[in-house]
Order: sequence, then C-alpha cells, then structure tokens
Amino acid sequence: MTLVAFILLALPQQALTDAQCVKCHEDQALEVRDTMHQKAGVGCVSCHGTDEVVNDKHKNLPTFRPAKLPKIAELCGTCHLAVSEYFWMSAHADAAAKDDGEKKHRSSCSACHDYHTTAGAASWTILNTCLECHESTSHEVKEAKSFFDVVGKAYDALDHFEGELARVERRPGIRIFDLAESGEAGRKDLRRLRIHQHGLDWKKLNADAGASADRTAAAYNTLAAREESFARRYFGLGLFLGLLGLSAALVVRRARLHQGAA
Amino acid sequence: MPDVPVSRRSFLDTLLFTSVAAAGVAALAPIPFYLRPPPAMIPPRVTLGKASRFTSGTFETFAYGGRSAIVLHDGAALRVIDRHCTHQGCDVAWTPAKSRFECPCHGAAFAPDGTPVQGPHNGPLASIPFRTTPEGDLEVGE
Amino acid sequence: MSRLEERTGLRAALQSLEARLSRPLPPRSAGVVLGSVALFFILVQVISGALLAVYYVPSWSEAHASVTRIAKDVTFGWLVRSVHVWSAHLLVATVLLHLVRVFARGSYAKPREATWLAGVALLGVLMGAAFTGQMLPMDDEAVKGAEVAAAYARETGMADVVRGGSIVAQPMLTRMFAAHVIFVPLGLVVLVAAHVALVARHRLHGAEAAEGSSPVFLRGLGFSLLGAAALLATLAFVFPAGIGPPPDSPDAPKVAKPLWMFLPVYQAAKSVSGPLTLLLLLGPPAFLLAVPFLPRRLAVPLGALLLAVGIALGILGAAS
Repeated sequence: MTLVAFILLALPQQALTDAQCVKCHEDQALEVRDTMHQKAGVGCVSCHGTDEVVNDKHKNLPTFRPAKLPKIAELCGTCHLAVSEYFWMSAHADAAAKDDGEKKHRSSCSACHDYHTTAGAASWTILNTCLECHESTSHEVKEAKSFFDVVGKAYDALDHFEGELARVERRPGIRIFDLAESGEAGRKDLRRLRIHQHGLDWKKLNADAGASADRTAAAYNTLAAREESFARRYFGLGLFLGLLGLSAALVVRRARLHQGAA
Repeated sequence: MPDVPVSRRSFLDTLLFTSVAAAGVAALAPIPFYLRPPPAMIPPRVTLGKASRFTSGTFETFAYGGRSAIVLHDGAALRVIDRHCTHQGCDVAWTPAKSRFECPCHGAAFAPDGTPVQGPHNGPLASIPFRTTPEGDLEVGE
Repeated sequence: MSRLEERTGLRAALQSLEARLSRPLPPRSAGVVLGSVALFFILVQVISGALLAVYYVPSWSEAHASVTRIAKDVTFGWLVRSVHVWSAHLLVATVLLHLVRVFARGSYAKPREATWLAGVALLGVLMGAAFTGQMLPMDDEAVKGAEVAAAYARETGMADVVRGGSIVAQPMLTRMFAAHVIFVPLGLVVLVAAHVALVARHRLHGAEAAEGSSPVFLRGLGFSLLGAAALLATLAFVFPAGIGPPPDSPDAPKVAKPLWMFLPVYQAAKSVSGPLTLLLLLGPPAFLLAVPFLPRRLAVPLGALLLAVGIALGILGAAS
C-alpha cells in the first residue's frame, strides 16, 4: 500500500490547463469567452498559474494568485505596459501598495476593470466606483468628473466632425484631404488620454483633453467655412450673368440704333 | 451704312465690345488660379517590411511620394531621410565607409541624421516620420 | 485711325466679320443660330477639356482619385469640370436640334450635300467624344458603360480594337483617353473647318437674298450665344458635377445606364442579339449619310419615324 502511495506521490504533478479549470468554473469561463483576453490567448492559467493540484480541488492553496492587490497591477502590467507605467505614478498605486486589506486601499486594476469579462470601464462606472472610497464632494471626484465631461464632449465633437466629413466626401467644391487626418489624429489623442488617465494627473489630463477638443473644433470650423464659401459661389454667377445681360441690352440698343437710321 | 452719327455708333460698338470682353475675362479669370496646384498632398504611407531587419549598418533606398528616400540604421537609431540635397536637389549618396551622405553635384556632405557637415546646403536633409507597427513592420509616412 | 487700329486692324476685321454675318435670311429662321451655338459649345469643351487634362491621370487605379481631386481640391476645379460636363450635354442636344432643323427644312439639298455629310461625320465624332469622355472618370457607371460598349463591339468584330486587349482594363482606358484628347479634337478641327467653310460657300443668293440685308441674323446670333453662355454658367454653378462612386463600391447602383444620347440604342439592343446588333448600330448612321440622295418624299417619313422611335426608346430606356 505505502509502495503504491509512494509511487503516486513521486509522479510529476499535472500542470493545470484551461480546459480543466472550465470543467468546474463554467460561469467564469462564460465571462471570459469572446473577450479580448481570450482572443489574445490569455486564459485561466495566464493569470492564476498552474501551482495547484487539480485533484485536491484547490484545498491547500497558499495564495491563489493574484490575490495580493499590488500583484494584480504587476500581473496586468506584464502586457499592458503603457497603462501600467502611468498607474505606478499615481496615488492609487501608492494606496494599493499599502496592501493592508482596508477597502480604500483596494485601488488596483480590478477596482474598475472586471477581471474576467475585461469590460472597459466607462466613465459613469468609474465615477460610481470612485464614490466607494471618495466623497462625492472631494476634489478628486470633482476633477475626475470634469475630465470625463471634457472627454465625453471631445468624443461627441469627433463623431460629429467625422459624420460631416463623410457627408461631404463626394460633394464637389469642398476640399477635405487635409482635414481627414484630423479625425484620425483626434481618435489617437483620445486613445492616448485613456492610457494617461491612469496616472490621475488631472491638471495635465484636462489640459490635454481640452487641447484635443480645440483641434477637432478648429478642423470642424475649417470644414464649415469651406462649405460656406462654396455656397457663396452664386456671387460669381451673378456677376457673370450681369455682364451677359449688359451685353444683351447693348446689342438691342445698337440694333435699334441701326434700324432707326435705316 | 446707316446714317447715324459715327461717334454714337462707335461708342456703342466700343461699349458692347468692352462688355462682351469683360464677360469673357470673367469667364477665363479662374484659369490662373485653377492652374496653381493645391497644397501638397500627403503621400500615402509606405511599408518596408520588418523593422528588425535594419541592424547597424544596413540601409535601403526606396521611393516615398515620388521622391527618393533612404532608411538606415546608424548604430544608434533607425533613420528615414529624404535624399534630396537641400542645395539644388540632387540625390545624395549614403557612403557607409565614411558614415555620411555625400552629394555628387557640389560636394555637400550630411551626417546620418541629416545635419549638414560640409559643402553648400540650405539646411539639413529632411527626415520622414515613420513608426513600427505592432506587428513589427516599418511604416514610413504621416 | 486709332493706334490700336493701325497696328491690328481689329475694328476693320470685326466690321468685315459683321458684314459677312449680316446675311439675309428667309422668314422663320430663328433656328439658324443653332449651328453657331453648337460651335460655341465645342470651343468651350476644348478649353475646359484642356484644363482638365492638366490634372487628370489616365491610370486605371489613379483616374478616379484624380477626378475627385479636380472636383474637390483644385481651385475652381469643380467649375471647370462642371462646365465641361454640362457643355457636353448641351452640345449634343444643340447638335441634334440643329440636325433635326436642317433635315426638316431640307437645307441639305443640292448643292449642300457635302455640308450635310461633313455634319453627319461631325455628329459621329461628337458621339465618340461623349462616349470616350464618359469612361475617363473611372467611376462605377463609367466602367459598367465600358463593359457594355465592349460587348457591342464584339458584335461588330471590333472588340479587340475597342478594348486594346482581351478584357476591359488599363489598355482600354488609355485608348479612350487618346481618342478623347487627341483623335476627337483633330477630327473636330478638320470637320468643323470643312463644315463651316461649306456653309459659308453656300450662302443664300438670289430671290431669298432679296428680302433685304439686315443684321437680324447677327442680333439673333448675339442673343443666342449670350443665352447659351448664361444657360451653361447657371447650370454649372447651380448643379455642379458630382463625383460618382468608384467601381464595385457598396453604394454603386446595380445597373448603370448609359448617357441619355445612347439610351435609344441601349434600349433597342436589349431585345436584339447577334448580327441584328450590327444593323442597329450601323443602320441610323447609314440612313443619315444617305439622306441627301433620297427623294424628299421618302426621306422625310423615314426620318420622322427614326426620330420618333429614337425618342420613344430613349424614354423607355430612362424609365426602365
């Protein structure tokens, strides 16, 4: 008997695979399905590791990573480099590093982003989450809110601008080749801001968001000005028709003159 | 010929001629503006394969927006330079032995990043913006 | 004599031109200006076409982009293009009206047969200009039209000549461009010169001339030219030429119709195939060429029938 047990224990422990996790954790598997993580090949094992022996049903698990909060940010940061760079500069990282189990120090990635469905945190979700630790009248929440307002307006302005560009794309007389880049540039700006906002440097963020919105507004105004100046082409037509009319009148006058004398 | 005071007739003639001529000028006036080309179009981006194949010392010439350009690695960084000499527009040649651009027309020379080193010039060689795509390809252009 | 007059003889030249144009006319001759109006439109086409050629790129992949550039980016590009497009329509309409008028009044009779033949050849060149010009912007309509034309050409055994190869591709575009920009203008120069010279040669003499010399023609001509310019400018400004979708784009219509002047043939060709198509394509031109040599009793009803059928088919073609 002991010989059999010895042989069993001596066998190399099985490494876990995602397929094995899914057998029991169907709900989590459903959450992860069709996410960007799954498409990128990030599965159960990528974040939770393979240290556990499946037969024990995780009974003697020391720490089933990533339980420690700073560790979550480190783990996500191995792929999400740029965001992680900004996060580590922020007050949230300092709080999470305290790692004392206090609610207001659980400010790591999982505070706003769902770890399984990887749903992007929309601004209203974020603000609600902020309120779990911050007072709604606190200056941090006020600054965050004003930033999200500016960003929201910037998105709307960009959508509107791109809609207008599409509308005049095949219309003659309205130059747009130099403005098409502005739409793309604006989208790039906003994507960059989404990364930078993890740094919580509200002053700079607001300035950048405002600058981006201004650039989009300038491009939109240029487009509107060009449409307007094209609409004013009728002045040219009027001038030309006036000259033709004058000539016609002179032809009549001259002919009458000739006839009168004949 | 009708017996009308010549001055009146020729005045109307002149007036009519001027009026028609003015209409003609108005019709033809847009032509000089039409012939001036609109501001330079941004050339389409050019992809040059994997960025990783440009190690120190390797270089490749290519065409960008109808102009001759070169991508090279000067040991420190990847550079994409427009080969139009800023003096009178001859194509500069990259001389690996001397690690600089040399213009065959009037002897101008430029550093790998385009800075003028000697000879007649009107500023540094133009750098063309480029980026490496997430897949590792080198993409040149705005 | 003024200084300008001494050097250029401008006033004398204009007066001499006026004297020549102040020819007497038989009654009810308002339509006599149609030919001159057509000539005006031809001049407009040559100038606006030359300007378009400065920016147009006759490449299968670049053509549509170059036309879009003209219409959107080049200063007054939209105007030059719109003038060219509208003037093309007005030119063909004017020439057809001119043809109908000359036919109806029998002005092609002896000794003016040569004038008529030159005119018919001119009509052929202009239809060729319209067709070749339509393909150049390389929009969806243009490419589909080119395919249809190549199909007709196959019936006449000229498919390879029209396509410049075995399929509708770059070689066909190059041919159409060469035709539109070189062969058509050359043909126009020769035929217009011949036609106008013949018209001048066979000016009215004798009894009809006894109506009395009057500058009525000149006045009518002046008004009609001014009116033509006004109409063209108004159409070009108020309805600038749009940019069609590129070939195989999602918002391109499923079936492309040819230009209105080709609708009768297009509609008729739907019901015929094989050698009958040849008859359909060559029949009307053959009839037109034969007109001066047919007795009036025969020509007029046939001509009227052809016109009526043509209009009916055209309307059907537009509506279907």
